Amino acid sequence: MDVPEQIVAAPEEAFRLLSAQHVQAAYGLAWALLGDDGEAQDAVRDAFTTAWRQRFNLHDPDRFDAWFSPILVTCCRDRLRRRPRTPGHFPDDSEPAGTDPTGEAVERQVLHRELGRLDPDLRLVVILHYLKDMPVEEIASITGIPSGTVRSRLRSSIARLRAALERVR
Amino acid sequence: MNDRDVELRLRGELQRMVSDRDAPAQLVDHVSRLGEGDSTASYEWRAFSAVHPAAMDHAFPGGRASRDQALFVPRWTRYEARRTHAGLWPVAALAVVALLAAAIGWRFTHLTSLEPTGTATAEPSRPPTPTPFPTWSGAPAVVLSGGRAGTDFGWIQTRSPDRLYVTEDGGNTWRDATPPDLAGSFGAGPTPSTGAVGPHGVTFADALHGHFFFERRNGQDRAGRALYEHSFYRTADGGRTWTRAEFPAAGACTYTDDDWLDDQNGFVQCRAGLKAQLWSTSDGGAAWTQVSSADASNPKVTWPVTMRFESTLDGWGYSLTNPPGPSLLRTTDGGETWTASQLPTGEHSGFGFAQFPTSSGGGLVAGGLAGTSEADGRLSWDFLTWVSSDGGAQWAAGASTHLGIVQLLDLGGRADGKITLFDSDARVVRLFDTSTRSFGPDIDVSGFCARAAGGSIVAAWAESSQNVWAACGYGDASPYRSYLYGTTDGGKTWRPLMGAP
Repeated sequence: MDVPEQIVAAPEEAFRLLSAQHVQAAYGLAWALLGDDGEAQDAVRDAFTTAWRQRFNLHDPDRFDAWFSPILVTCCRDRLRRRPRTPGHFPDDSEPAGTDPTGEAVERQVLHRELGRLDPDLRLVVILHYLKDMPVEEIASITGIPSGTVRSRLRSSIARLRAALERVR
Repeated sequence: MNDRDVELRLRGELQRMVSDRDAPAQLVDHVSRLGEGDSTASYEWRAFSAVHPAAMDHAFPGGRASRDQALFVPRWTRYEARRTHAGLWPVAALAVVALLAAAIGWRFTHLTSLEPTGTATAEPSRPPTPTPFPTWSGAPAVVLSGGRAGTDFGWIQTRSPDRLYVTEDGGNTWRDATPPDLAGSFGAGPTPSTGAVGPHGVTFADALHGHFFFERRNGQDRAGRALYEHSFYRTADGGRTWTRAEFPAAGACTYTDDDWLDDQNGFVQCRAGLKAQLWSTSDGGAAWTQVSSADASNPKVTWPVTMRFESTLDGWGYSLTNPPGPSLLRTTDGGETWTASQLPTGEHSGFGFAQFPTSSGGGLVAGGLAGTSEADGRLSWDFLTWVSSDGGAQWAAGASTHLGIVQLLDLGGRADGKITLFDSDARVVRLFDTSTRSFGPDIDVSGFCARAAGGSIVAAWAESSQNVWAACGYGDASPYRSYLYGTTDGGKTWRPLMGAP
């Protein structure tokens, strides 16, 4: 005779597990947006703390990333707003150009430099679109920026990067 | 160079930069311990338990693993939605007390104005059931969880008062079986005044033998994490007397699952954040030995969400995430190590419970429920089976049965390969036979659990398609009451067993 039983992982534990599975990607996005290890760590910590408080609003665990990304982006934008608007805040960890005779390393250095020089508002849409593969409409939705403005910022950023890359060719 | 070239280079470089950057260990640790030491979470659970007792069972896993089945996936979002309401209740009650009081008053009036023959039933096609309609005077207030071990023996865990009751006569009479030292703190959910977190895994194997784990808060560490002390209680006389032993998994480890081979040999796992520990006993819980531990958040680590042992060495487990997706785990060393085999689940995104592997046709067969999200957010369910001809190393999809959309498909209980499901919205209990993969007839509960009065079935346990207990809850927040009814004729008539007059 088997007895009735009910076994399942606790919801809170499931949320922790989901969070742990996404912390690496979250840290990567925060670092790409903020360009600073310490700030990225703080932003991710803030974001997961906020997410924990709002976890009741997560209705589909399969869409955790879509649910969490706006929270993380908000935390990162808050930190960007508090920053002095000085360009060049993006670390360059690409290899020295001298080790790459094909010029690829040079192009990567240029990309790093130009990403760092992008205005934070431009860099935000660039990172979300090209790192997170986020469609324009979704970027508009989570940032509150009109979709037309998102498109123009993407065009502007790509044009700027293209110009910089062509200068070193 | 055109814009497309730039986009490709940019995308690749961004991916490279991010992939080279590991999240700091302290950040990973922070995330794996979210909410620990967070008193609000505790209160949320308490309120939650008052709203949906069945959900409470899922939140605080209870009961012994069935010998051939186990629930393996947390369908927790459905309950989270309810918790939203529950978690807000204490604040809302303070902020809008006048409004709430008015609402309660309306509900009192509304309920007591109903005819006692069930004429308020929301399903007009079903005949009214001649059972008295519940009133608010019943006690105890809330049926949290329970179970059955045979036709006559059963147990119910209640809140207000926080007690464990057992019946030996099919629910006609109930006896308080709460261990004396836990009187006042037995109810599931944190009790700040006593530090009690509550019992886990309350289970009776038969009318005499039962056990449970009990957790109590014991301060917090320097990082603010809650610490716990654990006890293991067992009875050999149907809950008249209990023996208590210390369960040595001290610290932040909290109970998640247990499984017993017999009265002496058992396993229990607990987790501190995502750090899991497996313990075993060979003397009925008097002494415990730690078998293994693992970091469940590590994608390279295989660890079961739930487990079932066939011997002190051989066992099965289910995992959702390590490796990604539902997997069946196998141990041959008493739980020290687990080997995973991916289960083919197709395009399903929702999850149900599974049947642990059993021998069939020269091979092994396992099974489980898997859901597919519909456009309206509901899940359409299938019962899937998986077969293995190599002892469980690899699994292939076997026969499946489409169950259709069930608004609140829930697990009530199970016995002998039959699983009690209940559909809260439709007010029916269904018995699912895992061997034939078919439902029995709908068992109507609308006579004592009327939608029009705000009733919602919150738990059900069936011994057969004729002999069923079902608990109905009224009220979304406070006051909340639940009542236990039983039928022995497949739902034609119901009689109140607990909580109702």
